Amino acid sequence: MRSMHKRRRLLLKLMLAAGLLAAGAAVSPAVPAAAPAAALTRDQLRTLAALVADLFPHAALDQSHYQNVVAALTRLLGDAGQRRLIIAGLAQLDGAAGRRWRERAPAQRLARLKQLESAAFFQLLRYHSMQALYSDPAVWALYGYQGESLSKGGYLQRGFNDLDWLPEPGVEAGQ
Amino acid sequence: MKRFALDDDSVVVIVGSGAGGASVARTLCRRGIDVVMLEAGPRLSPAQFHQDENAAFQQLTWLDRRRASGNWAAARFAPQLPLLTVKAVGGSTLHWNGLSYRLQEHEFRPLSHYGRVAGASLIDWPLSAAELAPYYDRAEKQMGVSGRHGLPLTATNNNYKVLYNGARRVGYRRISNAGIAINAGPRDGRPGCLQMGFCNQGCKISAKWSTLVASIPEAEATGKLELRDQCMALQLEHNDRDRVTGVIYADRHGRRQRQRARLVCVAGNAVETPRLLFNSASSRHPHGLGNDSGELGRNYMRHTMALGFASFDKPVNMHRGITTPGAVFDEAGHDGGRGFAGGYLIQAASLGLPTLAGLLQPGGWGADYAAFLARYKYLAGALMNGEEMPRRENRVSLLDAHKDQYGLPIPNVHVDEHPMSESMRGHFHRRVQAIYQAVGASEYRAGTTVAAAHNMGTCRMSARPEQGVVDSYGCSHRIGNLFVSDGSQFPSSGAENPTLTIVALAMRQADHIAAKMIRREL
Repeated sequence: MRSMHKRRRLLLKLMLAAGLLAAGAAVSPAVPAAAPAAALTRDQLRTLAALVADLFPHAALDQSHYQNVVAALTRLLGDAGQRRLIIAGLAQLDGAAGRRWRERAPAQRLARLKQLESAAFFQLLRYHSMQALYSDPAVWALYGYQGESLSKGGYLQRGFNDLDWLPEPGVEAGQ
Repeated sequence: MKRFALDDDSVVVIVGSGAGGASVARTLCRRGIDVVMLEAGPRLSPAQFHQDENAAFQQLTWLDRRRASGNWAAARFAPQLPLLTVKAVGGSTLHWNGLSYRLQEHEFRPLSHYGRVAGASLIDWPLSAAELAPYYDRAEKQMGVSGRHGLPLTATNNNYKVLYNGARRVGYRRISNAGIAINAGPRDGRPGCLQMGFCNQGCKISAKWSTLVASIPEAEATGKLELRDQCMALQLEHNDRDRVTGVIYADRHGRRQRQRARLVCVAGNAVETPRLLFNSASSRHPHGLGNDSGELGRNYMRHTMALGFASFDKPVNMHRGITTPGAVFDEAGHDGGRGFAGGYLIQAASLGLPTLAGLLQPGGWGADYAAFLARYKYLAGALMNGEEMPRRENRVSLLDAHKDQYGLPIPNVHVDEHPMSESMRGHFHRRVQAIYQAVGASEYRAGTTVAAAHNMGTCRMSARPEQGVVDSYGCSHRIGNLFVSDGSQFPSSGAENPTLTIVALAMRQADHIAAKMIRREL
């Protein structure tokens, strides 16, 4: 158990440092299980949700999809260092202009995010938002990624070669 | 299962169970030679693999600490995870996609063919394409490579159809889905492909060849192989006559063990192999075992890679079916006029949405980025696999101040790319954009591979001992019973995926070892 926990922590650090992805594989958000929901105020949660939607704006997604991401982000708060980073980051977003983040004009928010791109809290939240959003089967369903396929027999009988707007490939020697 | 005593010094010890290690083991065992194989990772059953990119990454990837430095993407975006290799029985044959192409004739003599390249440490291979050809034949038959030796082709999917038609329209003619070690129909006790689309995550039905489901069980069936999983090799021991005498390893309980050995083959991939030799330094070998030349760890190569994605008006569904279902070979040759040495393959390649989100634009966000991802169903994808120039400064070294869970210094992987890599990427993107536009693409995006999945060099073979670490059989220039059996041996990368060549070299090495043992020379 202990080594597994250590491994998770290591992975988390890796991702923190990296913001990253490896060739051909995604790193999943490995976050401590304990998720103190009350750790953020309602205002902070709303700012967080607005930030996620700013980072990855999709007209087809509704609040529920973004709430799934926020829920994943709140699990990061179990780590004290990340918690400090996130809370300070949200304060930075909300505080400076005297108006709350979500009340500011979209163009203003975008310009501010471009300035913050290299900030540690930005990279942390961007990485985990991306991971959570694009690993969510509800989002896959909207955009046509179908996930696990063995239970349905793969795509051999389900459209692996159903593209009908181009001719069938010929057989050539290649190498 | 066969068991050998720790003090049995008649056994061959092989470190690593991937393409190289398991192929040496299979050949030796079938020649009646006793083998103990040490594998750092666990023995998984294919039923345990995940058709989920995130879970599979966690399950399969070698996550022990490493560092990256230099100007490559991994140093920037994944500085503690610069390589994408597997820690499990089967090694990186669990996550490979089965592409099994031979190196081209001229790629065995890159220095002669390309001429001297400033800033590169090219040498010719100490063996020719003709010498390796019979082993390529054996490897292809054993692995069940499609379209070779009368074996049927796998079916082509939507993503391949887009690349194929676009490539034809821009004038390419060498486009093929042959050369993939995936069963089209039942063969060799394994089923035909169901076009599931998770080649990269470990094939759950074993239609794809891996050493886990093929070579290792075949070697075990001889009664000559003992495979010890979750055993991490830490150090090789040698005597004062420069013979390797055994391997110190940490067993699955973390206890240190010493397996005596008649001969040792190291096949831990191009970072762990030189690392083990560095960690085996002694007063006789102060710079690492068998490192008289100073070339150990140097000349590290990946392939030069790039990703290209295009959006169409009609659905593609690139994720359905074989992950890399075929390739264009028209740019594979050498043509000095393109501004880089060597060539590249254009491989149809799909990514699931979670991985695509990470590689489309590392660090990406915003409306433009999100809008392209939302086109997922309408995207086609291609991967460049191109020759990378070796550089002496690109190297694996040890960071003495940073220790792993065994108390050993962790490896640093340094890559300053030769400028030709970026020239090659530019060429690829122009060509692939033209290919996709020829079949109606509305938008093209360049993606970035970050961590290196193909790792070569670091113990390269050379005709002259001062230019490398091993000879053409993978035998140490200095230590007659020490062999390197993986892609670390490659003097150059070629444009082709490395696994088939690793297997062919391993079979040739094993024949050489067996013949010497019969003659009592080993």
